[in-house]
Amino acid sequence: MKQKVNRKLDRRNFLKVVGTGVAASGAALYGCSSGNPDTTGGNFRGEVPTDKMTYRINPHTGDKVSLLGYGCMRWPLRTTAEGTEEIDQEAINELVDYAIAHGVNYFDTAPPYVRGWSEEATGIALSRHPRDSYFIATKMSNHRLAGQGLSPQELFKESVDMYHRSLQYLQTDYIDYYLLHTIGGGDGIPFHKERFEDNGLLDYLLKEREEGRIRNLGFSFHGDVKVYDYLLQSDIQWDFVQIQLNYIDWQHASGRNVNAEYLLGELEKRNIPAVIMEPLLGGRLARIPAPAMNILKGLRIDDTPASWAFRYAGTPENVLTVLSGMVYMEHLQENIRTYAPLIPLNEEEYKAIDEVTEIMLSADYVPCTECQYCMPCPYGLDIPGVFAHYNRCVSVGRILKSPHDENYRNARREFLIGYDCSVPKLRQASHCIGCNICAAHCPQQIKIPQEMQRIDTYVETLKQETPF
Amino acid sequence: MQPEMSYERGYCRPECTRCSEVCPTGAIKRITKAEKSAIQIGRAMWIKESCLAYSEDVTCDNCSRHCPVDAILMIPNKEGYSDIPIPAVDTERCIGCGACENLCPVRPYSAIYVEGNQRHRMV
Repeated sequence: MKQKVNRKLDRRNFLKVVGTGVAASGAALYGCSSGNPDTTGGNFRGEVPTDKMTYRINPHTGDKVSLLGYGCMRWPLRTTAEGTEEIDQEAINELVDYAIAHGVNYFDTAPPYVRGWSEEATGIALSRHPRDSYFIATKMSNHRLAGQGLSPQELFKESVDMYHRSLQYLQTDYIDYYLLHTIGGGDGIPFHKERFEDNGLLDYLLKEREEGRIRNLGFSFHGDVKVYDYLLQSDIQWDFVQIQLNYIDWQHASGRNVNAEYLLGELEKRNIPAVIMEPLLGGRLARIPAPAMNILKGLRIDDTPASWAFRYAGTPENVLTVLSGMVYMEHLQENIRTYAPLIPLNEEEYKAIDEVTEIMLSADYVPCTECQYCMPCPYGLDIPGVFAHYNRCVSVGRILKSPHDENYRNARREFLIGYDCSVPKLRQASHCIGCNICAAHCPQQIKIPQEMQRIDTYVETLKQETPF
Repeated sequence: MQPEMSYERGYCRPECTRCSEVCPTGAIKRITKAEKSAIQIGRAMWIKESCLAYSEDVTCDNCSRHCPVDAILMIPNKEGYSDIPIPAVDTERCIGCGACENLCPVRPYSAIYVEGNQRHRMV
């Protein structure tokens, strides 16, 4: 503020100052849990197998990679005595040990993941195992350094420092799978050139590959398809490419995403293995509307929607591994079960998935994958939290169209109470001022402020019980 | 010991008339929702130096958008640090519910707050 306003700190203002802290712990006090959908399928199926994992062979190196890859973007956190959050290293160690014991051998991290803590935590957990028992994937995440007015030399230096820090955090002297992170962002080709070409960084990384410190070089893609084509058409040998693939994105990619049918097709033509991200579209494909559930359960009573989505992503032969950011042991167990071994989708099942896709597309989801790239919000909103609550209500068919809907009273109550449980009041949609800082960071290109206002209007309509 | 209103944790919601329903002594008179929308219990006061739209070059209309009686207009900034619209309170329509104060992003003190009336009045 340019000028301080002098008002004495009375009771009311005092409350306001301390209010933020009180509200932040509110959700915990009321004992509401948030965001742990039960995906264990509800049917007893015995022990999780340790020796049946499906492996795919990397045609360039002969690596035998587990079809289930561990995404290290959402490691569990815990709250310290001071009320701040920190990495829950014991929980991570337990998850990693379990994954390795059950045949998972691909671990995908990046410098910015989990507020910059992921690489170090992943390194600690993995270094307790023999180095040749797992593959590490990490990324050159200089997309937030570029466009900040650094000279090419400065950007090169900062980027190489980032690469060396990755090696150090991961406690290794080589990286199995190294990616140019999120190619296709910004304004496309010029942004790519600024990040990797004008400063000589790509040449440096190619040299690192020649010398064996990078075993496989690839890139992950979101956004402008021109950059995708440009890289594939260059004379560089890409060892693998990471793309977003799931049954919605196959032909109905939203925002600036590109249809996975095209992306995978281009890789198949060139015999480049694909690493799959967002197989569950940020969890949305784990929570599907009842009519869609009926179709899938009708074919395979034991299987969850999540396991269908994983089978879908893992069926194409060109897929090397499918990444899943597993925070809960139950999800890890279920995913291992899905791929131990993989039962590829058959024709009838592909047809069922087409029907489910139609149902999902006609629903009113916000295409948020909860990747957290939009965070932190300068005004304190929990952006992914608000969208997650809304999407959960969409997936159970609880978004109302009119006060005359049959289930109006219950659905209204559930929405409003659930909202306060999953997102503290001070972090809800009503506090969005539309500054638009978040929107530029969203890989799904969600118009976040507009969606916030839409949800806020919906909340007000419910609270005031006014017609829609 | 008398009840007091404050808007840090929430505000006087337009759909709610609970206090008037439960007061056993009649000190808070029974009102309907329709009546409530025309009873002024205070007036919003704008502190322009604190307002993001006025002095921080940030587009914000959260107070205006959430006003249940449309008493906050967004008008051009004639004093001209920028062309971002700024809020203007119509004190004849304002009922003092505190939505603006509660949802103002400025911390620790909102750039718009409610000054209570000595007596309620109809607007």
